[in-house]
Amino acid sequence: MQIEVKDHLDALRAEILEKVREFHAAKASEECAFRPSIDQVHYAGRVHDEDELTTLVDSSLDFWLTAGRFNEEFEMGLAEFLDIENVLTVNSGSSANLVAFSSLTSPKLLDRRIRPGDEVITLAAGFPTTVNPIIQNDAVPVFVDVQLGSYIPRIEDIEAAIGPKTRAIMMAHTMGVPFELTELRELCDRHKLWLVEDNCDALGSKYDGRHTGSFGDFATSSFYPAHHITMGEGGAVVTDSDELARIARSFRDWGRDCYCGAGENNTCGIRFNQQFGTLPYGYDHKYVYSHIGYNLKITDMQAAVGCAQLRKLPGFIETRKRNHRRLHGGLERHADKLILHEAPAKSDPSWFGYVITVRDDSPVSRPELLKKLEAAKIETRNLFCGNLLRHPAYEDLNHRVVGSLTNTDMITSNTFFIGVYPGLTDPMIDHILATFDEALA
Amino acid sequence: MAQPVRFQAAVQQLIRHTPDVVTLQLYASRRLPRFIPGQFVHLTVDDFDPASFWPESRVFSVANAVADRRSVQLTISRQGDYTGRIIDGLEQGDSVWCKGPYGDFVVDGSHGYNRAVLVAGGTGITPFGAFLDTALSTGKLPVEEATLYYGAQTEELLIYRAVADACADSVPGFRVRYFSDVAPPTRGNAIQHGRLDIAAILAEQSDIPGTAFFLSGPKPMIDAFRAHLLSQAIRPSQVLVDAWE
Repeated sequence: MQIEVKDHLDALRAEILEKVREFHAAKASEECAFRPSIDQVHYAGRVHDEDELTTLVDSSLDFWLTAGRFNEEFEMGLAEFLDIENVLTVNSGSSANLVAFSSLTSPKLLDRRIRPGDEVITLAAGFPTTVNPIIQNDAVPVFVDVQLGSYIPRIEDIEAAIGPKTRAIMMAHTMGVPFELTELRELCDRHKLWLVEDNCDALGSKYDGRHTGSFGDFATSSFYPAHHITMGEGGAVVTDSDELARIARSFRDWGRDCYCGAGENNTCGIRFNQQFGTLPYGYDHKYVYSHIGYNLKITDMQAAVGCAQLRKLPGFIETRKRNHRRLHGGLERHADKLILHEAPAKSDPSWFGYVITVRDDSPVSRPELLKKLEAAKIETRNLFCGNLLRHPAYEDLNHRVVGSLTNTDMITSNTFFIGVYPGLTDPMIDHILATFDEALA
Repeated sequence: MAQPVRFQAAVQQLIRHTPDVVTLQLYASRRLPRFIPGQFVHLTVDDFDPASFWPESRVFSVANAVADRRSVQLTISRQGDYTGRIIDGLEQGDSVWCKGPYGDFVVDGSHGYNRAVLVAGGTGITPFGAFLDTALSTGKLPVEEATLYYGAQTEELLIYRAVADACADSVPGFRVRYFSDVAPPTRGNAIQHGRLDIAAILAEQSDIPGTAFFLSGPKPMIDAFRAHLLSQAIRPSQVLVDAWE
């Protein structure tokens, strides 16, 4: 490109981005002070400033569309944050779970692969797409109960669920609370089990000083607007293993063997010089498929928003912790009626929400409490699906339950959560606590 | 293989071994993914806008372990016009674009063999350079035994001789043999006069079924050596080549 043309384009780009900043400032100036019981207190939401908007427009001016420079920057940035080698963006946290689990069924893993009928230990109290990939790959989910308060399982219960067919443990750090990762990693190593951390609710949480998502063979993240950072729709598969990363890339990218990025050719240097199965020698590597895969990639515009959000992540984490602390402090006086949110001793959660279980002997039931909160414009959410096994889609599921799911059932009937996201202000938290005081008086 | 990235790098040092062979010490502007010895990068000396398509480039094996996640060493020989542009046009302080890591020409036990025979012709030493760098820093091999057969036209073109000698002295299980078309032995491990001879190399091996043969160098050499090995009932899976189109 001629230098004069490039300079002109750079100047136009700078002018457009300046206008975007101006637009954002004008829009932000319209925001008014919070009005209790009039304005909605959301449980979650996207928090952004001009950086997200300008980065998004910057990427749109590239018009690269598929994963490009921003995606590369995001993947490297998140890998550095987690201190892990490989991050692959995908179009949702659920897709991340699908790619991660499917990758463990790869024939490339030889006798380490998960096969149909193998068992995977997981939780019924959570989000369905933590469990769905197990079912979709014809493995058998084995459910264990969780503890009320932390909503994570006990290590002893997981160990009791391990049988001759067990090949993996795949579960979520529910609401940002890390399960006991050092102990679980040790358990997995001892029994030669894969560990998949669904880290969608817990980006930035730590256990034993290490980030969640860095203990498992795979971990997953979600960047849906309700999550710690967002790109609208989006997610990531995380692994320290180069071998697993290459398999995951294949499952994400149609199942192909080739690993060229968008717009690239012959990065391996032997595109037309390999033998695969019974295909003719030198069959174009771009169209050789080593897995039955999907297309779950993101666009560079999504990644651009992710880049700006990633820059804010440390601040977001601190605000979530602060909001959680404030809510906990204010709700402690209702501990006789509510089971409050807690975490294991060695953990440092980057909380997703503040989870509350209404005690069975509380004078106010969950429906009554939720009605009062919602009337005060305070958004609430159930702990996702409660007991997954009680949902219509899972009625005929081939599965095992080890022990009872007593607490999981209690969650189904008595548990909910409210927000701690960085969009909450002090007046909003004051309003939340005042509403609880009034409802539980 | 780690997720490849595109990265800008400064030419920190440029060593001209001959008018046709240079070694570049590059320093990346960002932290790089994990490189495995034997992997390669694409290098371009053309303008590149990360928001557009990758320009014309050439592939070069990385000759060091990239232990600091920034420093990348490449040894480049003149093969045609583009490598000529690199060799004649680059100066210390210049900036280039690379992308990588790529490739699975990796010397380790993953191929199913405990012994490795490494055959390097000329600048074909570079993927083994990263292997040697790693072995030297860790003090051990990723296989039980490895022997490097390293040939070049002249003694001066045995560019990685010092690191190979150091490995032979300090890394258990590693041996090296040098070959030169013209030079007599002058220092370190002896240099044998003459070219690399795959038949002679094969005849020296005591455990052929347990050995993987890694071939790197000019394409005619690789093709001829591979054909010879396969004609001697060596299984195709035992012969690994560092070859690009």
